[in-house]
Amino acid sequence: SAKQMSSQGGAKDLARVGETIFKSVDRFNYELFIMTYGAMVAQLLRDHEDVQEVNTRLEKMGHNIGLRLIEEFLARSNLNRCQEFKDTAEVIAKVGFKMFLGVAAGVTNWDQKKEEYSLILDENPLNDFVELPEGCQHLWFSNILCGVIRGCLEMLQWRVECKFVKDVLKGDETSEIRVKLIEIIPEEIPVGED
Amino acid sequence: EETVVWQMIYTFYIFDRHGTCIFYETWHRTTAMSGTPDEEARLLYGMIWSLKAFVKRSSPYPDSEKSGFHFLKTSAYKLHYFETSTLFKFLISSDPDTTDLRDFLKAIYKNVFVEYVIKNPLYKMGEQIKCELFIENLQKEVKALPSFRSNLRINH
Repeated sequence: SAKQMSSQGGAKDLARVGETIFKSVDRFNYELFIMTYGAMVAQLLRDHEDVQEVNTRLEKMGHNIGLRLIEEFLARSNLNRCQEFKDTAEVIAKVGFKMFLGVAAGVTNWDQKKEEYSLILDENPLNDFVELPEGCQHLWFSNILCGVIRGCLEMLQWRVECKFVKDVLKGDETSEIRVKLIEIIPEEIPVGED
Repeated sequence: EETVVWQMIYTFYIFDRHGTCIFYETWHRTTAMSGTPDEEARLLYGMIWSLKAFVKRSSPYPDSEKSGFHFLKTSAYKLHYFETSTLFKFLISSDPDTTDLRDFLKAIYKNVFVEYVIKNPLYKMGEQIKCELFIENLQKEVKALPSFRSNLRINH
C-alpha cells in the first residue's frame, strides 16, 4: 500500500539502486577480502582468551568503519536520510548490503512500534571458507557487520543496538541481525543559541 | 553602455556535526576579518543554525526534506549552503550574482571530501583537515569554476 512505501521508494526500487551501484564499482579480489577478514578474526581469537572480548572488538571495529562508510554510501547512492526509522530497514538490506557485500538482505520480524527489525542474511560472503572451531560457540564471526550498521545509523542521528541472534556458522538456518532503535540523536545546539 | 560585473569566489568552510570548523579557505578577500578565524567561524555557524531553524519554522512544509536553507544573498555577497545527511556543512561565499553553487558543493562533498578526507585513515574525525590531496583537488575545482574570477560585460 502507499502508506507502506517508504519515502525512499519501495523495496524493489531500492533493490535496483543497490544492484546498479554494485555493478558500477571497481571489482577487487573478493577472496582476498574474505580471507583478510578471516585472518583478522583468527588473530583476535589468539590475542584474547575471552570470546566475548572478540565479539566486542569486532563490533567496535565495525563501528569505526560505519562512521566513515556512511559517507561513501550517501555519495554513491544519492539517497537522503530516511524520514522515519522504519524506512532504514529496506535501505540497509537492499542498497547497503548489496553495495558493500554484494548480496542483499531480507527484512522481517518487526516489533509493533516499528522500532525494531531483523535483517536476514541468506548468504553471507564473510562466511565463505569458514568453520567455527571448538570453543568458539559463542563467537559471532561476522560481528563487524553489527558495528558497521550501528556506526552508519549513528551518523544519521539514529542510536541503535545491533546484534546477531542467529548464525549459519552455529548451525542456524539463516543468519539474522536484530536492529533496535534506542533513541533519535538530536543535533547539537551551538553554544549561545539555546 | 557597458557595466563590468566581477564574479568571484570568496571563502569556503566545512563544519562538522559538532559545529567545529574543520576547514577554511579564502580567495579574493578584500576586507579584514572582524575577529579571530575561530570567532568568525563560530559566528557563522551560529548564524547558519539560527537561519536553518527559522527557515524550517516558517516553512509551509516544515517536515518536507525539500524545505531548508539553501543560500542567503545580500547586496555584497551570496552564501551558498549544503548540508549532508550526516550533518557535515559545506559553505561557499561568492559575489551576489554568481549562480547557484549548491551542486558544486555536493560535488566537492562526493568527489573531494569523501575521497580524500573520509577515506583517509590518517585523518582523525573532528580535526582540522590538512590532507594535501584534499586541498589540491579543492583548489583545482574552485579555480575551475567560471565564477572564480571573471568579469561579465553587461550591455544596457
